[in-house]
Amino acid sequence: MNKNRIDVSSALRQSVSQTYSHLVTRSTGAAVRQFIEQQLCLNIEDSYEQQDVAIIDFSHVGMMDFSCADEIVAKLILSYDEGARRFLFSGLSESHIEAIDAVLERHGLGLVNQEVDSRTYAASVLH
Amino acid sequence: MTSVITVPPSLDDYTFEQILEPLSKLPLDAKVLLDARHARWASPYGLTGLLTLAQTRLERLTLVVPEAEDTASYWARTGFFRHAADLYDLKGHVPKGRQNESSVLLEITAVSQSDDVHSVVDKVQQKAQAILVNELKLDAAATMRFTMALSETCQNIIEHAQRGGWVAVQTYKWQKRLGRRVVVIAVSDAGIGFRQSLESKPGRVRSDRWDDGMALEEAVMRGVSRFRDSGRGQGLAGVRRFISNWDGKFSVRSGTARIAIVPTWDEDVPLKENLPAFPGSQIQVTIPERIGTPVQSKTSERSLR
Repeated sequence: MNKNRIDVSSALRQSVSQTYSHLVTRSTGAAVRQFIEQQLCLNIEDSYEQQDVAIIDFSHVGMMDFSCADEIVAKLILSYDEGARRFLFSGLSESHIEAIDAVLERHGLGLVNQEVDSRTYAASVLH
Repeated sequence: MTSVITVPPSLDDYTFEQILEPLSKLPLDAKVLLDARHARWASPYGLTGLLTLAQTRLERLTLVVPEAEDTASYWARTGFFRHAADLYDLKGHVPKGRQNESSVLLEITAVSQSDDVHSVVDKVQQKAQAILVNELKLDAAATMRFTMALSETCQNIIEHAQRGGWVAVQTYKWQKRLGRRVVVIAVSDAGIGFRQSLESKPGRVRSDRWDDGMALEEAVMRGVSRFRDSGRGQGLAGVRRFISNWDGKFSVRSGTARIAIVPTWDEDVPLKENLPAFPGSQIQVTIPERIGTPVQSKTSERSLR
């Protein structure tokens, strides 16, 4: 199993509540992002592979609102220095993309399809 | 002396002002009786507004319940009386609410913390698909967007009101104004309102023109938030985008002003000022049954004034 693949649905259940299935509210998003960051730190200590691509998997996430998209995706990207960590966001539905695109635009970023499959995207600087 | 204010026969976002107008002139500790005996219908905005109104007063209000059995029964099924019993002295026959009212997508629900929003979203998600797709003829993707809109409007209470509020979602045929079925989200709180919330923004520069209307323009149209974090303030702006795509109506009332994204089927104005003062904020989202392709909204960011 790829240690740098993080299942966001599982992160939600482990960090906030076993019963939640949707990514809503800012406090939920912040808790999930902190959980993901902890996992990424643990993986770095294990492998010393800081340059690895981290795959953030949304396949099992139902709905995600703007607040969670900002807390999880935008803040995750912005919290790492350029080049220190590359993120791929996989398993994105149309509504996930819509929320993420809207929040990234505000930070001068956008989503770019990675051609791995139709649901995997990376963040890119908007020109 | 007790002041009597008559609840209009049809209580919605327009006629609610008929209650606020006389009430806003009375001292907060005045004895007031709201007479709803002749009320025949109330929108979720009207019902959540009545609950909010009771929270704004120092002296507990009296509410005379509707005399018409079907009206009182409907108000009960929305969960109104369950909450009103804690806030009002209720006079008249209060019927017990039955469960499984199909037109009530979400009973009137108290929202004060993140858990409440999760619970609201879970409940609505289960029923929304059938109503939005089968009854309102919206595409399947609308369900997720609708739930996002619901989540963001509820979060406005948690993030800005600094006290709890109410949310309700109902669907009904809007015979007189539209002749179509609609689904309506109403969110109401008696908190600090948009102007005061934005005034607490660190480093805010005071301008000559600063009032409730301008605060609403800043927050709803330009996504300004009281937080320094540049990612904040996107929720209501996102809701505004969805609503335009669905030919829906979005209105936010706070303090003495109300801003609205007005679709072509409605004759409202984009910005109303000098309304009777009402604490907190009241948000309404109205999405009509789709007929044909979406129509361009009348409101643009430049046409407010």
